[in-house]
Amino acid sequence: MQLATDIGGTFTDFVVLSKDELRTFKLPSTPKKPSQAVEQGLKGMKPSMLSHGTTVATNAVLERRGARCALITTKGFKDVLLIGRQKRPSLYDFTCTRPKPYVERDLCFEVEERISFTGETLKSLEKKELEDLEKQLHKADIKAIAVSLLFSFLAPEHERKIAEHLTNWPISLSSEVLPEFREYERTSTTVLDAYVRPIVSKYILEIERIFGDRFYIMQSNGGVSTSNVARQRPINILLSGPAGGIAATHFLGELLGLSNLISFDMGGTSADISMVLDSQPQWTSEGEIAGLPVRVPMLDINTIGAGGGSIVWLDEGGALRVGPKSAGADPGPICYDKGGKLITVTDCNLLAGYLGERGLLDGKMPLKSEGAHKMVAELAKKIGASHNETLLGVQKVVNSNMIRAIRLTLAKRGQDPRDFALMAYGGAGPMHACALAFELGIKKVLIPFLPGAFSAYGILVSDIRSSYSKSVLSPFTGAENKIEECLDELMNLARRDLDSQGITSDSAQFLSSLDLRYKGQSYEINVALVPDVKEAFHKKHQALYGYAMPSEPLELVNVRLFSMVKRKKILPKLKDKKSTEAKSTRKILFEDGLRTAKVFERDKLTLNFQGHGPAVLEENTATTVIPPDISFKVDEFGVIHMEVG
Amino acid sequence: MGTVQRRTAYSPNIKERVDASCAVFDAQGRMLAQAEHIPVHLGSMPLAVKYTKKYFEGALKNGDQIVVNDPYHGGSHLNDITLIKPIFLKGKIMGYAVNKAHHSDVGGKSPGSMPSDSRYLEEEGLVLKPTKLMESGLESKEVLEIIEKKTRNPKERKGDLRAQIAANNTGAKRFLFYLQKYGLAEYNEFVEAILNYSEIRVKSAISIIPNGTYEAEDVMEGDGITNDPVKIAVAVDVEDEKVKVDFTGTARQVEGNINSPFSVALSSVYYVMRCVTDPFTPPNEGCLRPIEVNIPNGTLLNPEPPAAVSAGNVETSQRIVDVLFLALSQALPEKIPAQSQGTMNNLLVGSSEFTYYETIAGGEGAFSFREGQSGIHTHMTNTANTPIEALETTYPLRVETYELIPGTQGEGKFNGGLGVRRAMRFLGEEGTLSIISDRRKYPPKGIMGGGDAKVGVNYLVRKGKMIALPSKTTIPLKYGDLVVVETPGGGGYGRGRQKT
Repeated sequence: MQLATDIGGTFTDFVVLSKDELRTFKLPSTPKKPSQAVEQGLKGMKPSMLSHGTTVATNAVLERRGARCALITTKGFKDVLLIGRQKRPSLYDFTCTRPKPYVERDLCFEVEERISFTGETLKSLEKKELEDLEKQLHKADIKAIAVSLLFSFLAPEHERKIAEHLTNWPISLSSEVLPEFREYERTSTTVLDAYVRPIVSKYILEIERIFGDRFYIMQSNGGVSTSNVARQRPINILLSGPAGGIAATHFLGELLGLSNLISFDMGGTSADISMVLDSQPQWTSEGEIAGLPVRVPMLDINTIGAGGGSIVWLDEGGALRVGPKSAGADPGPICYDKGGKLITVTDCNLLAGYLGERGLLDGKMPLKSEGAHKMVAELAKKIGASHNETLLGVQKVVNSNMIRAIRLTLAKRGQDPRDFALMAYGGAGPMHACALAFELGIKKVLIPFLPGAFSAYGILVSDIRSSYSKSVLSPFTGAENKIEECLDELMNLARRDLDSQGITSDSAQFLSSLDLRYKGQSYEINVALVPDVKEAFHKKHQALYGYAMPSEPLELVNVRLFSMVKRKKILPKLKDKKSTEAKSTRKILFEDGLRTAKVFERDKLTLNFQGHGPAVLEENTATTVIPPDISFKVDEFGVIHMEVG
Repeated sequence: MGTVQRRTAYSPNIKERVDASCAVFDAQGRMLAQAEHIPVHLGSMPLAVKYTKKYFEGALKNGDQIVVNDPYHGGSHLNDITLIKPIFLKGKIMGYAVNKAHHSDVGGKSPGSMPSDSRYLEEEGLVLKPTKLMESGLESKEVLEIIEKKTRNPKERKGDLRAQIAANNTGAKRFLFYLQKYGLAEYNEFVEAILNYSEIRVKSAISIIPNGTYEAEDVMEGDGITNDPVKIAVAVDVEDEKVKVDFTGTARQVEGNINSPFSVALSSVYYVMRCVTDPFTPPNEGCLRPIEVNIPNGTLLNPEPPAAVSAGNVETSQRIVDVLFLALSQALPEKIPAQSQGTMNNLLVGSSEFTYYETIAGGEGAFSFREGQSGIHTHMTNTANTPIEALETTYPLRVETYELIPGTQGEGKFNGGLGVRRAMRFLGEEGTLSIISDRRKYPPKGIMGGGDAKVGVNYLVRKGKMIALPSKTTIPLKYGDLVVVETPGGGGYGRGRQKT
């Protein structure tokens, strides 16, 4: 038996694979002690492997509950975090300020030392400096240390010397966490690594105790690593929350022969948007958390405040707005009947007939429409629209927020939505998917099996991935030896990590790539290390920015190495229930008015079933809405295919 | 509503460079949407479109893109180059995609094209009146050749211009996609609705400001040629839902380069109004309707050619903001912050081989509800710094200190932010240093009883000897010189002491 569990804000999802059969269940999350829900869910089960997705690091950062940290920098630069890139986050809004660094100013210490841009030591680090530093640190009562010296990615000796001297604290070195140039971003990443280190370490030990062994943990890069390796580099799990769903989208896309997919995960509070392009998930090394840079490679995910719980409001100009604020799970939407007073997307979806009164979680969470109806009537009066126009208006606004986010995600990589299929999941994704597809000109919409637990399923099937990088900063021409050298170094790190996960390196695939740019540019493009890298770079530049300059010299910025070990992919074995009949009908509001839709129980539908909208497919954790004139089909894996437009 | 308007050109290149803005205009030249990057571009883009439309009346073709940087034709300073692409459908202009980006050098008498002591526009670089850079989809070789000949690093210019062309193409494509999807009738309805919507929002915010006429004045510390103070005076007249801003009483245009083109003054006014009214209103022509601006010809803020203007955009614009806030503080004492550093601390080091340009952050003024931030760009600019590790790899410079300066803040119920010390050693054989800064004599003021901040300081250490530098200077550099710029802090808000 294998088990995956994914901790969300509201629910902790479990996916259990036993004798090739997949089943899923949900337990309420236990935010005060997240491992409690995991322990509860594991009770009475003896899985051979546990795969786990956790937001423990994310929440520690967002809620500022991490360790009291010190930062050590080169003399003259202790304010690197406070000054940052010297920009303010909002041009006109005085209430919006830069996020405070995760190290207080009086816990930033300087050491006399200096490395030049060639890696040469201009001023060496004396032992006396370290002794003084140690005394100060003892007084400061800190729980972790981050070290980030200028140009340490070229010459890590000084940072290592500090680590060797300060053995009393957990320590994160910038030359190990992110050996790349740009001191602010490197320092920020290193500090976050140190900040969450004690909390992550404790949490992992707790889960290891519950499970009884080391386990797989989901990382921000869309792959897993074993818990002992994750503990060494906690920064890698910082933004792993939505990663499982994208890993699952990627895998399902491969299975169905679809190479371009938009992954759209809409839950209670937010929508996560990402894409798979040419059968590859898209990574970025320009991630952020709470407005602070995290530059380790991670899946490129655009998260916006659009979910079922997103609150409907009127702005100063009287325009209808939705989100980003959410009613959360408690009190939640008005229709949860737990004291919520603010209209949410879920309330409108219920009134429009998208959701049935039977409610969520197989009837365990009934929904009441009365209160929501009253509030929407009031809102309709205020904006001078009919009841139905108001409901449609809310949907239009929340949908256009998501459409804009999808467009942006694709535009960043020079892509057109019309070349993609939309994979929609999460509790609310399958309800909104068709409306988005219409607007974006997308022809095909897919609703996977287990849409409400798809992210947990993704954690179960995602591969073992690690990434390594090093800045070089030299002209590309003539850098062959340097590249070789770097790759050797990175390969050694990769082998070491594989080894500590009990994997031999022959079962791993390695992918080397380079970050390149035209000399003088301030941004770089990642290109796989193919025989004609130059040509590949020009092509990619052309595709992304609309022009290329083949006669210009290239500059090599970073060398990167990815290692990947495939894990076994498990598909749910479906029992064919043979049903072709709708269990009931209900009125649903579409743009052209109320229509009578057939309501099917998704789990009972026969494979290869075909039907037409207007229809609703209900299941345990999600509801799929199929507008009029859209045909749909259930394939052999239980995935719903809709042809739009 | 607003679906069409909210899509604007999007180019990661322009985004990464940050000192750039994109916007979409309708066929009448009304701004429909602007991506918010740099406030100083707010008022100048609409003017550039207006001048270009007039200049080429009827002579624009499908596939054309117009390049313009002339401050007397809607430009701000010569480094800011605007590209305008008319968007055609069935032979008719339906709108314009526009973007503007700061180019690191456009020729002129000193590297970086921002000499501290220029007296004529031509000394500051290549002046481009509205000119076709793209003709029917093809690059104009002659225009590119002129740009290449008259600027210091033509390859970089070409790259940046091509990025700008690409950005406009993307904007135009998206614009047409939506236009065709919704049809002309619905599009026109959207346009009117979104413009009116913004107008209503701004008007309702103005109506909260008490009626009255509010006056204020302040000075620039010299014009780059002399050290005489140069006055900026304003009267802000608020009447119900309208605001009239009148700069009568401001000094005549000056010999040096702190003259601010009309477009820059306009941007500063729009910036302040956006801050004090409703910062979340979609930025478009509707926002500008309730605001009337009068600036007499031939003055510092509406100079006549060939006055030099390179510092107007980067320095005088900050003082215009200070003066406007000072006037409005009489009406909105709770809403107006103490003065921020009030300068951009422009630092240029260059030689025949390279040009390095940077603006240095300082202290933000405090507010009635919070302290000012330290080491941050305020008001009319928001450009990122160059990472030290990038800078040292690219230029013969070594940064020795980059830190906040405790004690530079103005104190009060809430303190202002701290200024920044940036010290760099020059390691080239010979070069030129230009500094264009202000607030070296008269400090950023506190408000509502809050204390003033410390002024900034510029100096050079040569062979162990300290040489004081004025707020605006251009001097030769020698190997080993240490250039130090200390930026002003921000003023404090309110009497009393900040609780910690």
